Amino acid sequence: MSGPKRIVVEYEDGTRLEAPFGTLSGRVQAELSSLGAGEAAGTAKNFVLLEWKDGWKEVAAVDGRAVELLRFYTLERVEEEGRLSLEVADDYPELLVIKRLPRRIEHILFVGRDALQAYAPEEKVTVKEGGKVEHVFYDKKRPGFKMEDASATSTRFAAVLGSLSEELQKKGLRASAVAALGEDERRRLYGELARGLGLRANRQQGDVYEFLQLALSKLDT
Amino acid sequence: MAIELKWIGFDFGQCMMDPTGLRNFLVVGDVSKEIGEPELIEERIYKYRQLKERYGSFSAVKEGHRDEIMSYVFDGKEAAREIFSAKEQEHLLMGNGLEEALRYLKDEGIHLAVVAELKKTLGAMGADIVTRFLATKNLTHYFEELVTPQGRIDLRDGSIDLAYKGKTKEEGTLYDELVLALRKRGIEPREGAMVGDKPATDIIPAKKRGFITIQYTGYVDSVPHEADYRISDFLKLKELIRKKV
Repeated sequence: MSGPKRIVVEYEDGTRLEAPFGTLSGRVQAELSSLGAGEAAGTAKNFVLLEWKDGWKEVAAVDGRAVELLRFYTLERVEEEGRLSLEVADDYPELLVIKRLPRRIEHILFVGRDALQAYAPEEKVTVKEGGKVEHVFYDKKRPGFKMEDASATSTRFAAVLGSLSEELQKKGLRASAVAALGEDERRRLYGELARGLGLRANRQQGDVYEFLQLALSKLDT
Repeated sequence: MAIELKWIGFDFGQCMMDPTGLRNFLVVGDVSKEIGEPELIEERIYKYRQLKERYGSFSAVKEGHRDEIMSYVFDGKEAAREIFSAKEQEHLLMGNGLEEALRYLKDEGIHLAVVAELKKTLGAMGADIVTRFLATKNLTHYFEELVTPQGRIDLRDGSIDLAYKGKTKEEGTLYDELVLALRKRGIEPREGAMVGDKPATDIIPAKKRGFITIQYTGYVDSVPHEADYRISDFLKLKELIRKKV
């Protein structure tokens, strides 16, 4: 199939920025698609028309070289997904979907520019509705759930900063020196620090680097 | 031994109406596809879940913040409004064994009512989620009335009685009004029953006013268990209830 592969942005000074088309949000893809960017002229696509028993019909474009159906099957499996929502000032809550073993999360640390909170999730409420079961590990609005006290919270964050400090020491660096590094060098260092600390990104790799930047600023003070 | 009754009130949400089929990828997904924006499904489902996080449950979002679903989730697309309501109805299910039980109770000559915590102002039949559900599932003819905090609607002629306006199930004031209305018809509370899933709105306040209470646990099984009877399938009502002569 010859759908769009990359998006290229050209600046007046000749700089080009490229990114895979698939990394754009659905909204941007939809807008570009409405401008005709979703399909390359003259490309031959094949199509699958799906018709449901209730009359619903859908079309999906497939590779122009596709020749016949290989397989059709459904998977039935109980999947568990974590939903971590955050109160956001003057806006809708932010929702973080956690697909990796959500029930095995032991600690949650909220690290803001000016706020620090720790939570030790513990299942205290189970709500069964139809075929869905909600296991509630923390709910600000229900009684019986509390964030950890200030001392436990500082201890948790201090442990993170302590590990970061050790990683820096291994490299013979001080936190204040990191900001002076060049962009490429700093990103390489962040990658190494993240590996040393066992930190991975939940959504985007850049989040880990920004977290390290914030932690370094706290280490510096 | 069967209990003998002249009147039964049924709760609506998560009782007569089973929302199991209301999956976001179906409702939000189908609406987005209908309006030609399948690329926005994931983003819209995310926004819809944000509303749930803000207001606590999808029922709360739908009952009290419907306009926000349209403005925030569907970017104010007017075309989405009617399709959303239609899709919602399409994917709603009836509680287990409901229709057969209603047929039996009506044949017995028992007066049947829907007693729901409707938040939207009553309008023409079919303008609210309850009467629309009854019509879509062809259940309207089993019931005589819909009693809500917005008023009582006579399902036989569509007339609206505002005596119930502002009275709620949770505070029990709606049941107080029901007791008065039923007594005028020669029905005592002990000759009536309330069937519902939520202790706080369907069981405890109704029982306090003398109604027989039957907790439906086919969708949600909430504690405490203070109802006189518990059923997980409406068909059980056939064994449990006879008409009081």
